[in-house]
Amino acid sequence: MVEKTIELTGISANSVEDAVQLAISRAGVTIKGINAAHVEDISAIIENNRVLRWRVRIKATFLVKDELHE
Amino acid sequence: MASKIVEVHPGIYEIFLPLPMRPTIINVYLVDCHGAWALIDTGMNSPESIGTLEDTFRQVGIELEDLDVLIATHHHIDHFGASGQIRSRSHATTHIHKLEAARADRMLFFGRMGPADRPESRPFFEKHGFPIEEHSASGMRPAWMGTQMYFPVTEPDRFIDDGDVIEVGDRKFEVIWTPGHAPGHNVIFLRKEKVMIVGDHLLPKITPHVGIYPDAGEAANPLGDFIESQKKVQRFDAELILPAHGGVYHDHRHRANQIIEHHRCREDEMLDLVRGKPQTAFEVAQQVFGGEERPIFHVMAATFETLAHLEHARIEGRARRIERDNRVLFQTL
Repeated sequence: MVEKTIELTGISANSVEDAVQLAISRAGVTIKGINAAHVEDISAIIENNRVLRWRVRIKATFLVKDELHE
Repeated sequence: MASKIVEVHPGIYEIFLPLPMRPTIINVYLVDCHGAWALIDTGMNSPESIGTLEDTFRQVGIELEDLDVLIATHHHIDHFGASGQIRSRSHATTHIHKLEAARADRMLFFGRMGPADRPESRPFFEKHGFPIEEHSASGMRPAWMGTQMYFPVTEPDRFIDDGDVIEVGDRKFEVIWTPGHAPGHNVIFLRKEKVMIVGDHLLPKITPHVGIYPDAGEAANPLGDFIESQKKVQRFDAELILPAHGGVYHDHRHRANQIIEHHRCREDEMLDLVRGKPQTAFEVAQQVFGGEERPIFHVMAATFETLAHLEHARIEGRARRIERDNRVLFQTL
């Protein structure tokens, strides 16, 4: 088996968890079978001394499947 | 030079017509009905597009004047813009949904209006946060509006609706009403051939614009309609999918589910932004689609597409609408 890993950055106005979920959901539109996400980096965008956005850089992993030619 | 016409199924020809905007090509479909010819969609009424139609028709041994039947998926300029010229030259029996014919008529009316903006739409723009005062009426219009490039039939020979079957020669064109991108959008299905001509409903690489416009009415939920229409087409068994933009493909169910997922994710992104902070559709659009320098026409489309998502979320109980200082704000529940 071979897995592939891609790097994504999710951005949420609410939380780190939401940022991860948004990134995984968006990738899941075209990639099936994402089975793990490793959080690489978390940062916050600040405006007027308040957190405006959470930016979470993740590595998402999925199994590479062979496709049979029909 | 690459051929502008390809036989994608026996007797069904895909014709690539030029557009002066993106996407730069529209595919229309010419069908040999063995004794008669039908065309699905028309391209724009530009000399380049009409010339390409004439050339490609000759490659299958007919003239534009020989066309018998014209069927439109919807009224937009790239799909129905040349229908007036084609019908006047060929006398082809022209079919379109009633809602689309009315919209074609209204586009012509707006095209004839002077520089003053459509007065009834100003409050609509304002309440959704769009800075209408900063933009002239002409800047809000597509460049082609009021020109000969849009020459649609406004009084078709036949209105079509869901479930209709248009018989032409030995072919049967079934009408599947697929509102969303346009309220009277139709997919045309050839059941025996298992061929589905999908217009803009099921594009292979991009998704069509779905927006709420000033004339939509309070009950409008075009994104809900669009998602239902994506589910609806999956009930039909098709093996060859013929889109208006992009290459032909095979698995329409897979693509329909992808498109549904795409909009669900986009809606989630928008709801994330309005969770703790109520915002107008314009404010949300600036963040989701980017606030960089763009033609104001695109900013308007982004705002009204955002509004379609937020209204869909409200109707499904995920967001609420707050009216404050003549502005409509949305907030996640």
